[in-house]
Amino acid sequence: MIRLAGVTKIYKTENHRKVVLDNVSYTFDTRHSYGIFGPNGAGKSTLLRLIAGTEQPNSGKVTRDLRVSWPLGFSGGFHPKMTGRENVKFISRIYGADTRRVIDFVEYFAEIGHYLDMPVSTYSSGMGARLAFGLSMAIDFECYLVDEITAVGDARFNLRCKQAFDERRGRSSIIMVSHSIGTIKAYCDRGLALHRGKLIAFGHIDDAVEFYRKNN
Amino acid sequence: MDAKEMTEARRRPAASALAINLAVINAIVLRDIRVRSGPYYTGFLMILLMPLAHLVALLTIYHIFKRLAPVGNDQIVYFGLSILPFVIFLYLSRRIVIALQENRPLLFFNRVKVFDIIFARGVLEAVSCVIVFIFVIFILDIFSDGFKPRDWAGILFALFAAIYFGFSFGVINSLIAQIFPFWATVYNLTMPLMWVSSGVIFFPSNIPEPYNYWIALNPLLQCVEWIRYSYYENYPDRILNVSYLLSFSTACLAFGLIGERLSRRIR
Repeated sequence: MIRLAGVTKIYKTENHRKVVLDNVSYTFDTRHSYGIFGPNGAGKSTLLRLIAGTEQPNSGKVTRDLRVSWPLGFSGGFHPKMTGRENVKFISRIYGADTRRVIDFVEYFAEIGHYLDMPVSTYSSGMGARLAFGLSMAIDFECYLVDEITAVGDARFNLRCKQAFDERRGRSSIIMVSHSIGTIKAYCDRGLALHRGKLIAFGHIDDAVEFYRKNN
Repeated sequence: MDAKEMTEARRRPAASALAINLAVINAIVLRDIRVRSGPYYTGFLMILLMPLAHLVALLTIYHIFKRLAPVGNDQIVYFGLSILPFVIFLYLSRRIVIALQENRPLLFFNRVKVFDIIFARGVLEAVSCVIVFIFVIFILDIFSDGFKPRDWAGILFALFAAIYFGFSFGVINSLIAQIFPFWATVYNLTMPLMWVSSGVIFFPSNIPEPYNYWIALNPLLQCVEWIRYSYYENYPDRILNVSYLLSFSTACLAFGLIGERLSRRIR
């Protein structure tokens, strides 16, 4: 379970105060996979960072009793001067995973060939994303947080991601944010919408889609 | 082989908080060594050479200007021992301050906490300080009439106190600089002040009362006094206050760590 209790998150800039989450309380039942809809700037990625624990709320509490991934989606966090292999080793050490097994998996999944031994700064954005996804799939999380999966790869790579997630169904769940209704419907069975600082839950994912269409 | 075979069949049990901390710190130390060493490991040599070169340059200046040692009859040992805590403090605290700036992207991974980044850097820097210390002792032994301290244990304790103070001072300044970015400049501006008041370029016991007690408030001066007191016979210890030095360092560390926890919610 992942619980948000009275979570408020505010970003302050010089002459602006943006309330991203306004006293949000919600419990994610991690036997299900959730898709979160919302327009640009609604705070979807912030919500994922709060769930991951990489950012703290201004007030309220986020509690989780399972292994949650970092928010996947782009190659953030890799050191550009280190090779892909060195980055993979470092991150698998952080998460206490078997380094050799993780590297084997990443070689198989990311399909970047000899680039694995090149500095990450030489990668295209697609290669960075393949490495990031391969790495996260290799580490056994109970809940994967996914930020805009379709934005980072080609059709073949997206199919590969889908297959990898399907293999983990029943073992791991997903909380995903995306603008793509099709992607969310393919991965998730529950829908939420982030609207004006509030997280609105819907009984059926189609109701969330309808709400998103009306308000976007 | 397919993806299924590569996934561990059984889920590993959850690790304890301490085991996670140690795994993360170990990973960051190894990464820090790799990143800072550069492709040919020359960078790591530079990490050691910078404070050593700094110390040797200052010693050479004192030697050229024939500055007399106020205590003992060996100029190289007196100034070498006095400059050592300053150099350790300067490089250690500065590298702790920039550790968070350099490694901020690591916070993208939810297992990595600010404390892990700072502590990992502290471990690495403490090891390089000890290596620098060993080199300095060799240099002083070769270029003087022999390095013969009154109390070896005291010198080692003073070294570790300088490391502890440098680390704690780095921690509090690094966290203030996270909230107020201009603080990094303020920190850099305080370094010449720390040098001037550290008791290297003047002899603290020659300062009249009550001014000597005021300058004794500089913890770096306490490190310098402690190391000299441990080396020389009958060195005046009137203003040396070890418990003040350790309390000041501990307070910096505690405020830094508590402040970091509190600041997470306002950022």
